[in-house]
Amino acid sequence: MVRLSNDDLRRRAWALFILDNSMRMGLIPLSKIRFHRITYFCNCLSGLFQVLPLDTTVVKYVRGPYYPEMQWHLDRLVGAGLATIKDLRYPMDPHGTWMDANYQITKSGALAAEALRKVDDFYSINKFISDIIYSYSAQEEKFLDSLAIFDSTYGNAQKEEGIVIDFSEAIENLSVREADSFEKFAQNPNTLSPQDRTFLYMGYLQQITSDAVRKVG
Amino acid sequence: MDLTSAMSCVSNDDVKAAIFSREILRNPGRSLSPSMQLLHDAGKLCLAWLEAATAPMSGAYAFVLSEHPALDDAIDDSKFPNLRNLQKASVHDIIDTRIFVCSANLKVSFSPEFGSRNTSQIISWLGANGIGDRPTLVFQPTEGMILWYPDGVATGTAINYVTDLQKEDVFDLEKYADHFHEHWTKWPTGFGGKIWHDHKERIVIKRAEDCVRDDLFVYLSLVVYRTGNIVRENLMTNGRSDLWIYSRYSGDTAGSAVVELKVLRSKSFSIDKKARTYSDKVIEEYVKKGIRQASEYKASGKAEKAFCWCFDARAANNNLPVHPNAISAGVSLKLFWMESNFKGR
Repeated sequence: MVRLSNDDLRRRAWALFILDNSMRMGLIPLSKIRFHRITYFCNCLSGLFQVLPLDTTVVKYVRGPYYPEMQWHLDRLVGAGLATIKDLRYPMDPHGTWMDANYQITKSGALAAEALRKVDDFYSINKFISDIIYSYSAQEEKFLDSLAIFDSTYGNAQKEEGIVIDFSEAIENLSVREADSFEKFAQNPNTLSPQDRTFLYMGYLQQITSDAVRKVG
Repeated sequence: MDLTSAMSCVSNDDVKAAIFSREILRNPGRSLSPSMQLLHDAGKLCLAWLEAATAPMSGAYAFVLSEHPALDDAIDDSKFPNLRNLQKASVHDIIDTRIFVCSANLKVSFSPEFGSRNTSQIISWLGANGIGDRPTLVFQPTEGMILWYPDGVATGTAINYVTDLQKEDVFDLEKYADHFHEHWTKWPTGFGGKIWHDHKERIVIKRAEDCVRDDLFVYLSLVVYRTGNIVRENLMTNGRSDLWIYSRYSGDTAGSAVVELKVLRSKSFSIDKKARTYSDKVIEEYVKKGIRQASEYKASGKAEKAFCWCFDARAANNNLPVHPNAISAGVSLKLFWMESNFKGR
């Protein structure tokens, strides 16, 4: 039996929790694109929740954030019977052909997630992932796949495509800074919990996405 | 104009201010357990429908929790042909739909073809279709009534949220605490019965305080709906208060109240049987710590009132000499004894 390293175990738990919470929040089925979008937000906004991210770098890619290692773990979940993959498709766009598919958790996957949640460390990871997905899923369906593209860190106009975006330093993480900037509207900034900040920030991303789309016409 | 430059045309502060005022006042229900989230979100939606309805809304609506809609055996495509996202559904979107089996956040909702508007027929239908044991919210618009069945309509035990309590004084909190305790925490069969791991042995679960806090949060936020605001785990300069109740969310703190919650236990929960035990002396110190915290939060947040509510799951109901401390600290202390059997109910 292959033993997973701690890092692999963490990644696999994140993949499982993202899948499980997405299903619970009605994001059914979860497309590959959306899985990576959510993974990006979990990494990027983890600082709000005092949780260590899995990755503090991501390549600015034409089709949005993509995490090869997380994809591997997601596919391992399918191999282990904890998730299913269906609707495999090869869409074409001006940048070429690519692959997308829909993922769904299985009953064994949900049971595995339930068992993992009972472990203290994983409980808090699941909690923060669930909070982020709750805020993400509260936005309008038609904008969900665009939110990460307009994210302050990922969508930073000063970063060109193909470049590695590194938000390991707090000052470089514009998303957390934007989320924190809502403090100025509350007379008592302490009232804003990490969940509040995430929720407000997602609402903000939806607003700027829809405004920008409207302007482009 | 491309998307990136279009994006930079937006005035960020104006957008943020609008989002802040729109969302934060109306969405304090994040990060709750699924059933509490359903109660909160569906309750909020029902009240918005009531407000927006141009004609009287008659009959009843039922919202039934599906914790894992993707794996829900009860949701059969042939039986539930109507799929919707209810998050921002208007009253016009739901005409003639009476039953919603939905995710806790209302993102997906499945409805059967069901014609009746009658509450008892809706309840019978839920029971007959195997979902009578799930957390369910029944909304009766003409009566302005939200009935909450935390253990499903089959149990017949419901609490009426809106009409009983809505227009009461927000800061008459002690009365609400008594009401909450009577229905949630006093009896193992109460709505908050899940905080017991083993009620006969008087062992509560590890995160009992979180459970009580979340239940109380939803309870109070529906009670004080639109007349105040409640924050959980409010970050203070000297710690985090369990609940903070604002007279106005973004306004001054005059009229605010802080609530510190404690669950008292003689024995901790442990899977491997190596449970810790706590003497009454240790528990007494724990209560005094709660009183101190409430008092300090009151001072640092300039709150008007401070409460320390202790839910007592100790092995024996021995007297705890803590009231003088509470009086001298200006904290209103209440100890709520949690019964471990059903006798006397």
